[in-house]
Amino acid sequence: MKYPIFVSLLVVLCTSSLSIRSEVTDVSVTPTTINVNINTGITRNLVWTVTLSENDALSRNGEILAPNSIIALESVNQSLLVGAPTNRPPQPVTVNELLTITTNQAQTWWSANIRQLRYRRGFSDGSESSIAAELIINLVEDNRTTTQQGLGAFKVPSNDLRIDRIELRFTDDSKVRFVEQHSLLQAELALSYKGIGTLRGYWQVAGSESIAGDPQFRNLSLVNEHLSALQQNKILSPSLPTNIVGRHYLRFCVTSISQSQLNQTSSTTCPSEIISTTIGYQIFPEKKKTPLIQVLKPDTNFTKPDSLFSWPKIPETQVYQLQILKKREPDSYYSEANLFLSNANHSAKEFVLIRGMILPSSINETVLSNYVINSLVKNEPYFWQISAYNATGQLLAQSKALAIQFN
Amino acid sequence: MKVRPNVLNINFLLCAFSLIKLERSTFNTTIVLCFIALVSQGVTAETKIDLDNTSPFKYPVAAQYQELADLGDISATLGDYDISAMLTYDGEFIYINNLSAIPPGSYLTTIRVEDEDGKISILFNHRLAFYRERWQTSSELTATGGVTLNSKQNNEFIERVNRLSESALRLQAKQLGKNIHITTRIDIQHRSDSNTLSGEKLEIPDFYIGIEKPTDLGKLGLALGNQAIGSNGLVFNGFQRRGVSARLNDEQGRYSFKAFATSTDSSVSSKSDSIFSNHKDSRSSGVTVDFLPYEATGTRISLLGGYLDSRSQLTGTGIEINSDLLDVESDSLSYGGKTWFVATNAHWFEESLSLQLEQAQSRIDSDGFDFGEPAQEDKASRYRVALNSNGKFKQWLKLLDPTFWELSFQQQEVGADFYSMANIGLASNLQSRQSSIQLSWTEIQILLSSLEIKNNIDKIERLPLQTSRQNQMQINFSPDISLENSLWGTIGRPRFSVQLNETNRNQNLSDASLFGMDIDDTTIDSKFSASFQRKKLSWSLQHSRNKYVNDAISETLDGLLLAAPRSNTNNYFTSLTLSYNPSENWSFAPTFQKSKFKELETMNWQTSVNLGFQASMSFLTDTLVVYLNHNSSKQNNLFAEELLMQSYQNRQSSMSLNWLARKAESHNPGLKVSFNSVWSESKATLQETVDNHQLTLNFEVYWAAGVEQ
Repeated sequence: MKYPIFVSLLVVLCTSSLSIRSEVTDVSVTPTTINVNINTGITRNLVWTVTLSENDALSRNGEILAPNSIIALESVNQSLLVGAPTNRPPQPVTVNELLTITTNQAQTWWSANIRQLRYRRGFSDGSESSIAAELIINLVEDNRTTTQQGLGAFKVPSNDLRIDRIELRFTDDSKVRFVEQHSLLQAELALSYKGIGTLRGYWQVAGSESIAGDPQFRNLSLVNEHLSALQQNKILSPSLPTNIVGRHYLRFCVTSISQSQLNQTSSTTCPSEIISTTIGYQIFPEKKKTPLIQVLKPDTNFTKPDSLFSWPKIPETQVYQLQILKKREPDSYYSEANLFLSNANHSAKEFVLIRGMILPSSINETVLSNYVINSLVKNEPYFWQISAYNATGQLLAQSKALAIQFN
Repeated sequence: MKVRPNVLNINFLLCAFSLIKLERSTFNTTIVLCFIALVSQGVTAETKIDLDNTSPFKYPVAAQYQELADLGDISATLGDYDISAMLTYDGEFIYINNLSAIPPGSYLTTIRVEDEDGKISILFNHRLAFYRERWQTSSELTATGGVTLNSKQNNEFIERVNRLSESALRLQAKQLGKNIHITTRIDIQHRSDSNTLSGEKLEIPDFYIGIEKPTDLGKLGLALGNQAIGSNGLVFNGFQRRGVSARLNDEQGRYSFKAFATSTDSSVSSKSDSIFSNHKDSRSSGVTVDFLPYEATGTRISLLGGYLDSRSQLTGTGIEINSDLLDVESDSLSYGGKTWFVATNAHWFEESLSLQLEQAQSRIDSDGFDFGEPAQEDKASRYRVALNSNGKFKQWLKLLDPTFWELSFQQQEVGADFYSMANIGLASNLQSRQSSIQLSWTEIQILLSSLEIKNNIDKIERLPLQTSRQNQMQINFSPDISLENSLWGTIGRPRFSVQLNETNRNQNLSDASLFGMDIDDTTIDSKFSASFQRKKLSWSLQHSRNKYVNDAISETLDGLLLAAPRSNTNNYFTSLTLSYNPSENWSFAPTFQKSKFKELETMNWQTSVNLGFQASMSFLTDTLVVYLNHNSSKQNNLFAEELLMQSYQNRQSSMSLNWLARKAESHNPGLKVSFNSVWSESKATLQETVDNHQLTLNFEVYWAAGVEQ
């Protein structure tokens, strides 16, 4: 399975000083970040501000560096000469540079999975040491400008939403799931990003129908999610189809990030393979269903704690298990309000046991014992369920969980 | 009130705190010493009961209680269950009958007797451990073989016949015996085809062999295979990897200790080196401790801690260094380091006041060991204080009379260089503060929250300081109605939800040149959803609107435009889904979704429409099942300035006709034959229409045995 790795998450490097003995005392560059569309390249004016004393300063070349590395990928052989200040030194002096990054260069780095680079220049007044400054170059893929040849990246409005990491997994944190036919299955997309904006995309599924060629993905659902300032988000998938036995694939395709639109061009690929991710699941045939215990009492929502609970007798039963349950609060309600629960596992069981009773097969009606009643709170919503087990502990039959409140 | 003994607890505390301060060289020694200190303190032995032996558990009644009038005065509980009805009494012994249906495990068992004056005496209060020597096994296998009968790909007919074989096997076995518990499971899948998504034919998504030995100190366990580190916090979050672990945990939840060594990267590969990586630069190891030093009715204080030493060459961290390009030794490109945390989770006043605290620290070399910058140390913390209506403070909001309420405040701070290889998505250099109130009544739930997020808390000079403030209101309403009412009977049992968010972002104007653009914007996000449920029909409608108002100004330098502000935008999204099950064997589910995004300044817009239909029909008591799927989606883009209109349309239909030739019963395999067809067509502006189709014949064998685990 391919890791969708996208741009550096850890470090935004800043200007570094290499020496203190130069006449050049400070160097900075504006802008500190530029975005380069790999389909168009870029030509951009950079303004270097060099603070220096009496002598002229020279930068022989600029260097394009890989992320977190001191090794130059490429060198820009253009000298920049900074004239000594005319006023009383030291004074900041600016010098312009037209930096060109070609489509070829950008695409070569992109294909090497590099999403962020640094452009660095050192200025020296002739002594051995120099002072350097650098800017960040983000590589981005924007297909809109590809289809409109001639529109430069300058026309693309600034977009500060940047997806750093996108990861798809099932709600139990696994990357591959084996599930029973017709069971409930959901996945979640974990996003780390910077900025805010709207993420639009598709959940897509493919069955194992395709024997030849790529899996034939079909759209399952559109996603239009506002990414808030939290810089992390989890998007829960709709219920995934689990009715056909066999292997299935789930994919999330980003179609646009805020105002950067990515156009879909094929049914088998996402608009951007980098901002897409695929996982698989295997469906086994449905097992024999546990018979349902029906005709239960009480069957109304409201009852007294001393009401009689009754159910039909089930053959071969050794014990009945009567449970009073409470519904687990849905994560979706709390997650946005609770940073601590935002990592909560969605696959947690639907109900939690409050208390219960174990009864011999001769009993098929009972009132709740004091041990159970003492754990109940008046007017709280509960559920009750009855299960029948045989002598080897195997579940023979089970009722649905019925809503109940005690008043 | 019952207070736990505390000698053990003090040792544990000392261990936990000393671990935080230690260097790696002394870390392992300390773990061993702590472990010895912990296990050298005894815990009460359990009585063991064989579930395969059906004789009842009997308890001799002391002489002073032997004159009990009748069984009605005796009650018993086993864990959370009242088992009084399972008791018999012969004047000398109390018997607990029909034990064989109880699931194996350890339960606190109490037998009480009530005298004529209503005074309750406890006759027995010990843990009973139920075991079963017999193995419980289950296995499932599916194998599918298929051939293409007809195929067309990208407008070209494929002449050759393609074949596919897929199989999946799941094996599970466990034995919960008297002296040892063994749990094993393995999931294997195989696909034979020229095109496999993962690029590998044989995959092992999950395997696990766990051996546990119940001891007087708790369960001592060793495990090999997929390890999940349960703790979810700053350091660990959904961390599941292949490896080995050793664990000691008290079944009463008083302590749990786990040491593990795993691969750093997740894998489903079947290759031997991927089952457990023996490369030192792809490995993680660590410990987690969980300890409950104090527990009394309504009060619980637990302490947690963890340590992780992790190295990786390639993970989803966002860093991927291409060694060919850099032309350096690959050994120097591994990165990672150490991360550790201590936390507490405390509840007081009948669990109505809670405090959660977590403090974490890391020392990570993110740009490769012995390469670039040295390892950076940083810290992260979070805390949450909450007050709720579960206990003592229930009456506080009596005026509103909610069934549940909770007030909370929480703060999280993550330093710029804080990093955990087991929680790679954690946003850093960020502080978030949130306060919220939740109110619940039987039919209504309300959530009000306010959130403030500050970036660049480490005040790195070259980064701008940005602040975001978000206010949120969410209301859920599930009216308690009767479906006998003609209105609700027709449209179904309703549930409504409204959510409103307003987010403001700011950045100092002077920071615009640092960031490359000015930030001053407001986003208003509103969402409404309604769902209705009837026995055979359920449907839901959702509509959301996202309005973005940008007050930022252009960033220029020396007359050159550096950044133009994003346009104000409106974004609408509407979704209608329906599910109709006219009978148990038939179901139909159409969906409609539409999204419209508009830039108000440029008048550029984009619309997306998605239509879907799924049907499942079964005939002849599931012997013949038909599945139908159709999906049509269209995306239109208008670039107003260039008067350029682009559109992309995709349609796909599939049909699967399944005939169950032989049903899988008992241990006999079943056979299913199916015809599957899939067709798709894509159209894009200025591009040729592409269509694909495929007709296949599949044979599927299914076999299952054993009991479900």
